[in-house]
Amino acid sequence: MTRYDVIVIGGGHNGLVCAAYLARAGRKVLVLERRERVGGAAMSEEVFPGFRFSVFSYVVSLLRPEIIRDLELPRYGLHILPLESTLTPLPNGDYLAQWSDHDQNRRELARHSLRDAEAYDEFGLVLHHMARAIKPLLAVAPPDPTSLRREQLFDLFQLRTYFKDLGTKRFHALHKLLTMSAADYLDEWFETEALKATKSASGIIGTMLGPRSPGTAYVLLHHYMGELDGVFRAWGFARGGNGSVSAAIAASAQARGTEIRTSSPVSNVIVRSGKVRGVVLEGGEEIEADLVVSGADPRRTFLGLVGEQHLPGELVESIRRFRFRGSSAKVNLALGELPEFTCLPGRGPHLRGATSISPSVDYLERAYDDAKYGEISRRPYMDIVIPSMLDPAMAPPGKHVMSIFVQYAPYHLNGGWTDAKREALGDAVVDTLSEYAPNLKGAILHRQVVTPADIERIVGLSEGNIFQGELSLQQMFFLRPAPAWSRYRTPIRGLYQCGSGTHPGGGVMGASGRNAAFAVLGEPP
Amino acid sequence: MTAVVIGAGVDALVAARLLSRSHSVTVLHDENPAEERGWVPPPVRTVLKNIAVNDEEPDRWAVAPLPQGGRLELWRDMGRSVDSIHRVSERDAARWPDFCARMARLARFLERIYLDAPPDPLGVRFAVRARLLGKEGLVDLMRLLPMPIAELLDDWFENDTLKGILGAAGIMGLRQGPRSGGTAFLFLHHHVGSPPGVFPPPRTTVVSETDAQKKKVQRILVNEGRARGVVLAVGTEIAADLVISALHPQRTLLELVDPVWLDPELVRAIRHIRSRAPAFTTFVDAPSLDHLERAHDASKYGTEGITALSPVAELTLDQALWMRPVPELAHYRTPIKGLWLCGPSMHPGPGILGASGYNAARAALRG
Amino acid sequence: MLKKTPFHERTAALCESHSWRRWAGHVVASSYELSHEREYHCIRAAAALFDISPLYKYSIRGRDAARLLDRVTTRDVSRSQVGQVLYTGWCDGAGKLLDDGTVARLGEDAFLMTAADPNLRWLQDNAVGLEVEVEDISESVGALSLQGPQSRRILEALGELPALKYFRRADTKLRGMPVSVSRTGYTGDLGYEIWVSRDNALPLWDALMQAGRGHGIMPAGMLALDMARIEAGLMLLDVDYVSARKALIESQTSSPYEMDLAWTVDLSKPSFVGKSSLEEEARRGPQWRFVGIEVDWSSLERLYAEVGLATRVPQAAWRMSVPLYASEQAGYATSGGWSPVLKKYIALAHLRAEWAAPGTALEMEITVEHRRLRAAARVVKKPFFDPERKRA
Repeated sequence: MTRYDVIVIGGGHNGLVCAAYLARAGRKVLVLERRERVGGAAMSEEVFPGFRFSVFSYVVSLLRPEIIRDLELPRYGLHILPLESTLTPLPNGDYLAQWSDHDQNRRELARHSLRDAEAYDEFGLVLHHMARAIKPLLAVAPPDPTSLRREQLFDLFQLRTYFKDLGTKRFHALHKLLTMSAADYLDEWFETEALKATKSASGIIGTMLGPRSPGTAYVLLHHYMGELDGVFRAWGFARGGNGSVSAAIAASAQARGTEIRTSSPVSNVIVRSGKVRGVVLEGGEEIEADLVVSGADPRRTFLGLVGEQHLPGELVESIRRFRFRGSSAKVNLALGELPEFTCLPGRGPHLRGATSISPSVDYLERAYDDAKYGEISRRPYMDIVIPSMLDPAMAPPGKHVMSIFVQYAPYHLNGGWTDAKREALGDAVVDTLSEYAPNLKGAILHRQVVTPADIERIVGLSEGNIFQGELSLQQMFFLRPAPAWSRYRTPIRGLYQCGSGTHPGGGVMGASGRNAAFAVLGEPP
Repeated sequence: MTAVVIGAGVDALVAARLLSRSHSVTVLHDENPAEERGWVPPPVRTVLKNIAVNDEEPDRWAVAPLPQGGRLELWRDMGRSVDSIHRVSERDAARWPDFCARMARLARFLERIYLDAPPDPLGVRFAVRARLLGKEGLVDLMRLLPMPIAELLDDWFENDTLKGILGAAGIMGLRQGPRSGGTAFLFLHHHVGSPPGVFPPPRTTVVSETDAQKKKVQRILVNEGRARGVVLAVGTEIAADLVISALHPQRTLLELVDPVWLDPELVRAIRHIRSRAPAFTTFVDAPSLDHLERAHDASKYGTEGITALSPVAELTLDQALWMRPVPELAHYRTPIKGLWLCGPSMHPGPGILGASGYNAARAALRG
Repeated sequence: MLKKTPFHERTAALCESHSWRRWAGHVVASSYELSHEREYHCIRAAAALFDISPLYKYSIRGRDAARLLDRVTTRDVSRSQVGQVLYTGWCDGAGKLLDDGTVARLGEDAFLMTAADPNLRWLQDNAVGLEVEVEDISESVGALSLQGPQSRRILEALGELPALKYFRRADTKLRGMPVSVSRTGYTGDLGYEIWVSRDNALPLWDALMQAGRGHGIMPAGMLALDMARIEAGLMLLDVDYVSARKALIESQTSSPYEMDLAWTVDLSKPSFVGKSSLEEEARRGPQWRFVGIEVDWSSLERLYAEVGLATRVPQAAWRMSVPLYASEQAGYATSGGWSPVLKKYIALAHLRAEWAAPGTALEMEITVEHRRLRAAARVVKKPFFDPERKRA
């Protein structure tokens, strides 16, 4: 029987990244995936004949460039096509567009507000500085400020030096960004409602917070993070759908000797005298290894695969109160023709970009109000892309696929999720969108609605949270997923975590998987 | 040496008294001293000797009807609270003493910070102080500060009425609902000065009968970047080496001072200080968190944007401690030499009576 | 889509080269003919007509208009006379340049400000507490610049041209059209700038071209203008300096002193944005200077001769960062080119103060046949070209 150095549980993108880095370092790695294919939530599927969808996650915004380089992902088929614009249709028949060309963008913003057109560049510059300040923190294992261990104290001291070197002005700016609400932060810069709303929408994705709640401003940074890596357009779409991101990472890992077994659900991790010994599959098969890395979310890892009996009470308590509360859904449409937006008719370049249904901050806040009392947003926030405009192979010639990210669709729905509720969500989405693109209803050939309950059932993400746990400040950095266990380690010797539920988490970023691999190898990233 | 103190509240009074040891002080105000309620820290109490300070410490601090009939009552006496909670939830009753102890530990941490100018968050002193909280205390603090009060209470308790009562302290004076981030910090802030297990903000009243002259200040005189005194609405000039204003910083720096003396970036920051009217200005016995949340829903779509010159800068994490009300002014000092700020919009914030006046005057005397 | 200026219909028809560039979100001609050479010579020998409409223009009116401009700019605007135009820079709180432009006093309480970048937000934010109205009139006002020794005669042919002194302006009518004329420009030559409402833009263009026909008028593009402004020693935002608003790091910023604009900084004003930093800098002296550089011809000739080539000079003005050396790197040039009228290779450069005195010998990096070499150069006084007619 083959003896593996490391077993990685879960073939999601972070598990695969972790496996690939470990294999690159010469380890014999086995990846065990529950489903019949790898990818986790980064998956493409021909849901309807001829129509391919990124069923769950649908854009590549934050995939770390060093991962693309280190794992030679383009060689294994990864090609990221930039999304060029964001269109926000407005109820009054007008629209707000944000373009990647500076002059075009300024001209469009000036149509709404001369002040905002000017503020836009300064805003970008401030966030550029903030993104620069944050970026190094993404690649480190966060030190535990309560620890008295020497290496942790050393890391803490370095962190303090780092913040001091930023200068007080930037430190304060960072403090503001971390603690303010997206709406308040943007109020300090802009006056155009649709601009504030569309920008603040990025702060609420994957959370159960409204745009006026403190703690939502931080995610604004993500848009600017990509620029630091020489990528001028942060948001992109992977050719072939997000499944091709996973496929490329998997191929890269396999080329380095990683073995991937699909349809192999792990039932539990074997722990003996505080040390990991391997895993047991649901079929009963035992596979031994001294190192096991779990890509599952913290709840499934600790309370499911490991079991409370092996863990300190504090950790169990922390994991129990770690918040998931999935709030987003996906609606995937197969279209016979392109949507015709009343505000901007025709096949313009705006169809190659994103469309955001976020006409005002109040609109988003009201969508949240519905959800916080356990209902689907009657008029939800939506982020829409038409991947077939960038990659025609996603749909039959002349036809299109439309991917709609929807919020809020709370996991904890009053009365629970049913087929009827799922269709009601689909109807709310189509009805709302049809107000801006009246031909949509007639263009729909097929419709797929994916609720947080579906995400949990199919992908295995607890409560359908797309980030493996909310990205709120009290669940970030050294608190992700639990104090003292934020550095990819666990109280079980030899057991590591590598999912989005660890620092820095969230999005198809891959940083958690990469950082975890270095933690396993005992090296700095 | 002469000084002018502008304002009617306890902060102005405390600042004036401290300055009067070395300065000849004129106190000016244009509004009747409102009755201020809150916690009077011990050093402030010493300064306020021979001024009426009325402590109000009800034994039973909350009474809320229960949906199933009866009432949930919370008392200064820990045992009586536990008994009352026990009737609605055994689990919550068992957790009550631990919750109270942990919140009290964090409140005491804030209390120490409040009696001085805001700390340097990257300073060694602050780090040592925070570590003295112990591992559990430090984790509690870091986790709790950005949290919604609703989540904190959900972590601990199951009874809606209990959570409603406690939640009210997290949003009192703030335009946020209990599900908004940062409200757990406000909950702690309001706990400062109270014994463990008592969560409504302290209600000590100070009747600031002062020798203040009721005269409206028209503007603060500035010359070559230095405050030289004030001009009254009636036209009289009062020269001073030191001016301390307890008014809202927007009023002081954007109306009384010609903003030409300030960096435009700072003016912009001052204009952005948020002081919006909250859903609740007093502690209410709310039947549930949803009740508070819905009350907030009603207020949040108000069409008014940033209302300038509301009484007090909101106490949110981005306007607290070394960020209060904006980082450049957090140490009570302004870019205009000899002009200092105090009042509830400054650190440590509303409800800590006289503390900012005390801190600001001491800073001004040090120069 | 880029914006079109009010004169676009005419300029597009004339632009034989199809060579366009962007200026403040507008499309403007780089040159009209296939080579910009004749356009350049018209500036110095006849008259050249430039479409300068993309400039940002602000109307500033109200009781505190002068106070606002005194607060924002470094010049003493209150003391300026009606009809006077001031060239000025303006700074952030740290005394670093945000932009530069002109402030024309139209009346006691009315000004027109021009700028290279948008500044509405900055002006409005500085107007807090003042009684003043700032309006962006960039789109509604077209602007032409008529430069060259014949420019006065052409304007006189069109109407009553008031006797304007250098940096003065007046309202008048040209062929019956109400316009404002200022004796200003960006060429260092005799010239005028004409401000007209959008509706009258095309008739004004036609009138000028027609009246200018006998005086050798030519429409001229940005390439010709660039060379002329270098000869005149005039700096350009985003080329010769970075606005403090856009700088990524502090060392990218420049103060007025560092840009050789000490003459525009009035420290006797009670206060203005950046004053305390500028006072401090005036006390210790600026660390950098903005100077003229002349490349030594014989040195250049020698470097080319060594590889068997005749000396080559740039065909058009360049805009890039070129290192300058003394015993170590002394600074960098930001724009330069071959001056057709002076027959000299000149450049504008930032130099550390110790090497900035006129006459200082330096070396400038040049690339000859793929190799980076150094040609001898020296610091000279700006402007390189300063004809009497400019002020006469």
